[in-house]
Amino acid sequence: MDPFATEFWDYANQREFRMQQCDECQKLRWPAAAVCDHCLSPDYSWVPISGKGHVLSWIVFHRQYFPEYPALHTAVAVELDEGPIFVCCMPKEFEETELADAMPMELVWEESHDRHGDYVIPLFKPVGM
Amino acid sequence: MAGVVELDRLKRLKDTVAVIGVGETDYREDYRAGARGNATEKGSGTLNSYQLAAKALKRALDDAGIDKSAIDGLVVGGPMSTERTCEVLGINASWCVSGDAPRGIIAAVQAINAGLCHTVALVYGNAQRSMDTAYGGPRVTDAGILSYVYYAPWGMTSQGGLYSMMFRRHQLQYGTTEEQLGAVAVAFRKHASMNPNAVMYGKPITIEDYMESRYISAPFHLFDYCLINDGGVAFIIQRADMAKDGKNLPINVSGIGWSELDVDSTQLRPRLKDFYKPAHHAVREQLYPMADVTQKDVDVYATYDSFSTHLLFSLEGFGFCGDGEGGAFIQDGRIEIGGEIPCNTSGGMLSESYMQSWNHQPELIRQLRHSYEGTERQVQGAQVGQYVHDVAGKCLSVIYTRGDR
Ligand SMILES: [Zn+2]
Repeated sequence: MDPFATEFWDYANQREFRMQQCDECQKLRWPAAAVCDHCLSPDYSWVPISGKGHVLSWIVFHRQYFPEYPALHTAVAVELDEGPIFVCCMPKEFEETELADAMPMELVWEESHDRHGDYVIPLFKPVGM
Repeated sequence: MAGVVELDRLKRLKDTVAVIGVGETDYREDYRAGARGNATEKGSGTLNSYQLAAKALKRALDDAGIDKSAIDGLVVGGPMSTERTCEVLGINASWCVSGDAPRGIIAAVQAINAGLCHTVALVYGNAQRSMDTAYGGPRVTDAGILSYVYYAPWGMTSQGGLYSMMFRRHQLQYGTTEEQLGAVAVAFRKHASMNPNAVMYGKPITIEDYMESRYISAPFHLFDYCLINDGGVAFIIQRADMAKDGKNLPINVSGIGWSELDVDSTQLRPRLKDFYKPAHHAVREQLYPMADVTQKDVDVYATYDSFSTHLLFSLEGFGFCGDGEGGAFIQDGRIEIGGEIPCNTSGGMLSESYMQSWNHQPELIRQLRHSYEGTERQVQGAQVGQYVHDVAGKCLSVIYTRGDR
């Protein structure tokens, strides 16, 4: 795995939702990368992200691509309050929820595992549901 | 920076090179043979990419009426390596690059004008069905759910999913409907039904068929997705003054344009916020003035169409209709042969052949040569053709026009 992505997942394992922020110009970047795409600085800090955002778009897979995600599987693009767009999915119990444009969303953590072991993954669900 | 070009320098390249020959493999025949041979076992390797490319090149040379020894430049597309392709085809070129069709055309215009070569063969071969190539799903990642490729950890790796998400955004923003989008699949299938070499020849669909077809990644239906099939394409570009005396009416490369939107593309910002239109706008400011044409002059249009929506977004971005008007614009046969702006007249990648930008070029050349004269397939009096390549933030476009004899 990309070493910078590894750092993201190490924080996720501790249920901390963080993204890289450039130490020079403060630009937030997602997904994780080696340098700031604005000023090319290699220096960054993993800053906490609020876990609040809203729906920008979503799709529903009617075909299974991954054993972890049988159909129907919804993928949703959440525009975070801090700016980056986070493409993810919802906990299974929200699969039937009718989504709408700009619907407020919030972070939830879920424990899961695959053939490589246990992991903790950040998901988003509609606020107040 | 996007959109800033030296137009006076670009204009000097107008009509300096021409397409003199085109060739394609037997898409439909190969697809049917593959289906017969591999009914239960896809991926047993009935065809080879180099074999397909060589067959297409032979046909392009025959079409141009020239010998292979006349080729001094080569553009190689698909999964083939440039070195091996030159070796297999027996060409010691003085200039050679790899790329998709529009990159190859733009590079060839530059190389020919720089004096590095004068006759360039652009070749592509891809035995992707025989090889059982995967473009999404766990075989692309294959290292556990957290291996970071696209959004694999959340079950999102499919290119179709990304374009479907972009269409949902268009629906939310402008009220575009699935039924409106269905006009693309229906029109391209209608065009394939006129093309005996198309994989989907003789299999027209109606808008009802489209609406009843299963979802793959809703809002995308099955018919919004391109084919996966084997094939090869080749065409030959030559310095325009040499092309004048050739066997065929030369088809000039009159306009070229290129602009990319790669910043923040993995988080889908240019896709979901802008539908990649800033890139479309930059390209149209390059190639229409260069070719000295406007959208109204374009008689036949082709777009990269791994998914139906490429057409919807590019017609808006290139100014054939206003932002958000694409859904209504593509109705009532407007994008069909005989309509105002016939699009992907061979059936495109949705219904003719998934040649990843390559099969669109021979079709435009034949339409401008009036090769289909006397059949329903010919766009009457076609003088100007445009290819738009709008793929994940990389936007390139080419204008072709009929040359002189
Ligand atoms: Zn920076």
